[in-house]
Formats: sequence, C-alpha cells, structure tokens
Amino acid sequence: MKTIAIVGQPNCGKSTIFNFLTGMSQTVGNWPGVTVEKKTGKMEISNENAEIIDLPGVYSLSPISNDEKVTRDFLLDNTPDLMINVVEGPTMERGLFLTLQLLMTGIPTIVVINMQDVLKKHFIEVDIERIKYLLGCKVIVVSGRTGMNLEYLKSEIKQFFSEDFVLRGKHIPIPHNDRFYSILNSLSSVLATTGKFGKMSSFYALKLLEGNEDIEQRAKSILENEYNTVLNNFQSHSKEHKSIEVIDWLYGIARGIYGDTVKEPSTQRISRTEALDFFLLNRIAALPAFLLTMLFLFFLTYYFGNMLSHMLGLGISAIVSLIPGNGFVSMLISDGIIGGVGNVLILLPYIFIMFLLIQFLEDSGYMARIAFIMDRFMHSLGLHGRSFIPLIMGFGCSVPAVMAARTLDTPQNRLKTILMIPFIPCSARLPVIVLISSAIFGRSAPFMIFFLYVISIITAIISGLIFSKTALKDKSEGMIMELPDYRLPQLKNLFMRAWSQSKEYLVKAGTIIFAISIILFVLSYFPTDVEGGFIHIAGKYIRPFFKPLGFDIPMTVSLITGFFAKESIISTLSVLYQTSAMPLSDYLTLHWNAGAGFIFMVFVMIYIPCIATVAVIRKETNSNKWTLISVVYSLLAAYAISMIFRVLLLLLHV
Amino acid sequence: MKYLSELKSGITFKVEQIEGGYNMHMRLADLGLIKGEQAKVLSNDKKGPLLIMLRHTRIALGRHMAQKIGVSVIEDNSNCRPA
Repeated sequence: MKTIAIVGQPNCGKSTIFNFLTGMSQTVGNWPGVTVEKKTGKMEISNENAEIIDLPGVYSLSPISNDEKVTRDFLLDNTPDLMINVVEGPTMERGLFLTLQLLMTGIPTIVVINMQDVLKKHFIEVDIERIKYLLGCKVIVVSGRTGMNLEYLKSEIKQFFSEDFVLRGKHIPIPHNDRFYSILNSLSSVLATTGKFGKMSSFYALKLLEGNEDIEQRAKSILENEYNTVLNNFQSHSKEHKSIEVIDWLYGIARGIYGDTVKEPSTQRISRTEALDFFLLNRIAALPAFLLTMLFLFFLTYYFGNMLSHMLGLGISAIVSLIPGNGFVSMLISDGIIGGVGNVLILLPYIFIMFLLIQFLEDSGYMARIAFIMDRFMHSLGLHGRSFIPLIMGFGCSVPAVMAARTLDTPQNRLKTILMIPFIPCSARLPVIVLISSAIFGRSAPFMIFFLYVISIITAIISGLIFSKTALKDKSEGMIMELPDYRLPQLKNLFMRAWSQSKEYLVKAGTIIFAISIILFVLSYFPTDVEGGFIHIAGKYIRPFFKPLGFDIPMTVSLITGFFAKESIISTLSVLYQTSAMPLSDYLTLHWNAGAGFIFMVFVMIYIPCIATVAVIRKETNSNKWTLISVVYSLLAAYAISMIFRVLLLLLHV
Repeated sequence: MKYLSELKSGITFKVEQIEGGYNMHMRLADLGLIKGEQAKVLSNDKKGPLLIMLRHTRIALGRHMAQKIGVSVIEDNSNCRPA
C-alpha cells in the first residue's frame, strides 16, 4: 500500500490538512513502545487506498524529544512513498530549516505552505516560482482554514502517484565556494559510494557532521565493518568543523531562501493573539484570569461528570439488580466483577471530560501561557511550568494525570512529575476521609480534611525536591517554548483525542481492576468460615507491622484492599467491623480514637493511590525500576509521616 | 557584551553570540533564535522567564538561557507604551 507522511513543525496546521485528506477514516492510537500519539487515515488514489500518516510535529530532525524521535525514525525506517511537508506561512524561515533537512533524505516531497489567509492579512508575499526553483520540488500555497487550494493539493498527490515522476529534482543550490558545503558533499559522496544509504546519503552526512549519536549508531550498523574505512576516507579529505557550525550553516541557507522569496511589510497590525495576551499575560490580570479559567474547568468537569456518572451508576445498579441469587457465582458477578469494573466506569465521564478540556487548553494555545505563568512558581518547587497541569489533574484522578505528563519535554521532568502525582490527593481518597473525619471529628471535620490535604501536598513538594536534588538532577537548560497564536480548536480533533486517551485509561485501568476485583473477591470470600476470608487472614499477619502506628486488623486489611481502589477502604471496614446494625460512621464515632483515626487517614492519603495508578506509571515510564521506587517510596513515606504524627500525639497524650 | 536577560521589554535586539553547548544551540535554532537574528523583548520582569517576539513567533525563554545569549541593542522602545 502506498504511504504518505505528513511532516511539519508543531502548530503548522497539519491536522487540518490531514483531516481534509483523510475525511472520516482517521484512527488515533499510540506509536509502539512510546506514549506518542499516532494518527493514520486513508485516502483513495486510483481506486486503491493509500495510507496517510500524520507524524508528530517536529522542529528539526535531530531528536530531543520522543515525538521527534518517532518522526525521524519513521522517515528513516519506514520510508514513505511521498512526504508532505507542511510549513506554517508566517514562520516560514524556521520552517525551511526543517524542510531542508527533509529534502536531504531524498524522499519525494511536496512542500505545502499553509495559512495563506494569515499571510494575506499581513500583506506578506511569497514568490512561489522562486521557491520551487530553489528547493527543487513542488510547492503549493494553501489555507487549511479557508480551504484554499486543498483540492489542488489532493489532485497533485494523485498526480504524483499516477505519473510517478521524480519531484526531487536537484540538490539545494549553494555557492560552490561554501566551505562547509564542500565538506558535506565529500562525506555524502563517500557514503553514497558504499551504496548502502539509498537516497539518504546527504541526510546521513549532515547528521554525522552534527555529531548526532543516534545517526552514528545507525551508520555503524548499516556499514558494519566498513564504518572505520569510510570515516578514514572522509577524514583525509575534510577540514575541521564544529558541530555547532552545522546548525548555523543550515539555518543560514534557510534564511537565504527566505530572504530571496518572501516580502514582508515593515509594520504589523495588532493581531488577535496580541490582544488576548495583553490580558492573559498581563502582570496583574494573568493570575486571576488563570485561576478563573481553572475554576471554570473544574466546574465543567464536576457538573457534566456528575451528570454522566450518575446515569452510568443507575445503569450499573440496574444490571446488578438483575442478577439473582446470593451464591458464590452471583456474588462474584455482582460484587466482584460488576462492582469492581463499575468503579472504573464511574470515573470514565470525569476522565473523558478532563482529557477533553486539557486538549482544548493545549490546542487553543492557552496551555503554553499557563506553563509560562506558572514557571517561576514551579521552579521554587524544583519543577517546570509544564508540570503544573498534570499535577493539578492529580486532584481529580492520578491515572489521567500521569498520562498527561507525556507532554513534558525531558525524561527527568516527566519522571519527577509522575513520581509526585501519587502524593496529590485524588478524588477517590476524598469520600474515605470525609466519612471518617465526620465520624471522629464532628464539627472540626472540614479543618482536619483541609489539614490532611495540606500534609499530602507538602509531601508531594518535598518529594519533588528530594528527587530533584538526587536521582533526577535536571540536566535540561531551561524553558524554551513557543507560545502559539490563539485559535479555536477543531471539535472533531478534540473529541477524537479525548476518546482515544479515555479508551487507554479504560483498557489499562479496566483490565487490571477487572482481574483484581475477581481475585480480591475470591480471596475475601474464601475460606467462608472467616469473615473477610483470606484477606482477613493476611491482614492478621501484616498487622504487626502496623501495630506501632496503632492500627487494628480491620484497618490493616482495609489498607490492603485500599491499594486496589480507595473506595474499598470503607466497604472493607464495614464488613470487618460487622456493622450491619449501624452505619459505619456511627461505629467509628463510638469506637475510634480521634488521634488514631487521624493517623490512619494520614497513611491513606500518602500511600500508593491505587493499582491503576501503578499500572499507568509502569506504562508511561516504561521502567520497572521507577515503578517499584514509586510504590516503595510512597509506602515508606506514608509509614514515616504517620509515625511522626503517632509520636507527636503520644507525646501530647492525646 | 550585553545579555538578553538584562534587556527591558520593548527593546529590539540582535543575537551576537550564544554561549552554550550543542543541545542549547539546537533548541534555540529550532525556534529560529540564531546568531544574526533580530527579536524584540515583550516582557522581562527580572525574575521569571522572558517573553520575546522573533519574527512572527512568541517565545518563552528561561532566565538561565537568556543569561547566555549575548546581544546588541538595535532599537530601544522600552519607554513607549504598546500601540
């Protein structure tokens, strides 16, 4: 099947063009092994389907992030038949920086200059014929927003496949006395003579001169024994160069082509983005505007989330009530399976809405502003502005929060943020502490709940700082981030992305919880002569560890079940205290010491959130080591902090 | 040599040199910030990240980075209010 790849810088409007070419046939998934989104679709060309892949947006082909690696690797390993390079009109100079690298791969390319409507609005003129000549390939100007020339693009693509003519005509025109170019050329010829690089010898040459390690590895494995001879051959011809020179040189060419083909007026009118930023990035108004936005988003999430969740809950109860009997199997189905899975499903509406809203923030351009505004504050916590949103999402549910950490630029940042998320009090813990607090603290419950939240957050911050100073010392140099123009996101895109991420959550959390629910149910059912079954027995054995903290057996057991889902804590306590006569809260008020209850809640707030979180941490970090560290660390932290309070309370004779 | 981190908002500058390794050069080049380019400082409150306008791109730049970018001042409009 023919393959077409769409490549371009972030925010160049690729998605609109991709949508146009693929219509309703898109699917969104993940690239294997990494948590980078993969978008593919189909386009009909001469009665056959061609596959179109929307590669992640990249600034250049020297990968710094996973996104860029995915794109570069795809082009080198799964070389498409045709490449559509979308260049954002207003930022064409740096767009050409990428274009030149793409052209060096030798893959047939159509350059699409997008956002013609914006160019027109700013009176920017582009000499298409001249660019075609300089780049040596087909160049089309389009506007994704107005639809201008999109049909023309489609027909050009079809024409490419039907005529099969070579679009890649000539090399980039450069004056022959350019010192670096002669170095590049000689290495390129040396590589070309080995015959093993296909059309890509120029590309490999460029990246080898840059000192790109990935490419070095690839070249070594392609050339095997010949590698050293090839290099020696080359060294003898070349003169010295520095890898930084490569960047400057390439950019110089981009600048040259730009200067030769684009005419801009000297003054600019105020754009909508500038006007919006005047308020949203204003020294005084920025923070209030931001807080209002966040508040608004929370309300939306909870309002619609509640509504949908409630409906789902009714549906699930209805199904459960259809199951007859009280025997093992029916209990397994109703309590074990449906109960367990129901826990996951109930969260789904909130999760979907959260992803939707986060995606909206990202696509509209406001997310970058949030990162910018929060950056200084985040720095004092040893983090970066972009970590803010995943951490905030942790207040809702850790699972999507960990997934949201994908957007962070360096692995250290990502890991640091992911390790902090479990300490952020998620909404599943809330019902537990609300119930217990009201039971044992009565009127002062709200304050104690707030205090518990503060303890959790402080733990999160301190953990972040600890990791920053030790294992995850930040090697990145700081923030360099584009603040894109504001725009109204396409609803269809938003829904598709949110749905694909929600599906991931469902599958990941769902399958684990499904399996665990069954196991848990069986373990608490058998042996039938012990209330709470095997889990209770296990609790008896583990309890000695928790005795110093003042926990009894039911509390210990509920911590075990709470590992699987926090809501289980309440049901487990209910079952084990055998409080069929009265509601659990009454029992707690009567029998629990307020101090002991507080320590218990501290532990609940800090230890591992739930198994779904562990599962998603494993997936996102791709590392058993770090997942284990996260789990063990949270257990130790919970124990230590609970112990501190225990000692404190003992000293105060409470 | 003046550094970008010292410039007040409203100043248009030209990049004279970038003190940093390959990674930093590349990340800056990705967004078009390279020797010889001109840009304008949109906001610099001396503490957090800076905001600059490079051609048609708004870029947020961490303070540490800005301290390594040597610049020369082209036009000083720091005392003019935005149009």
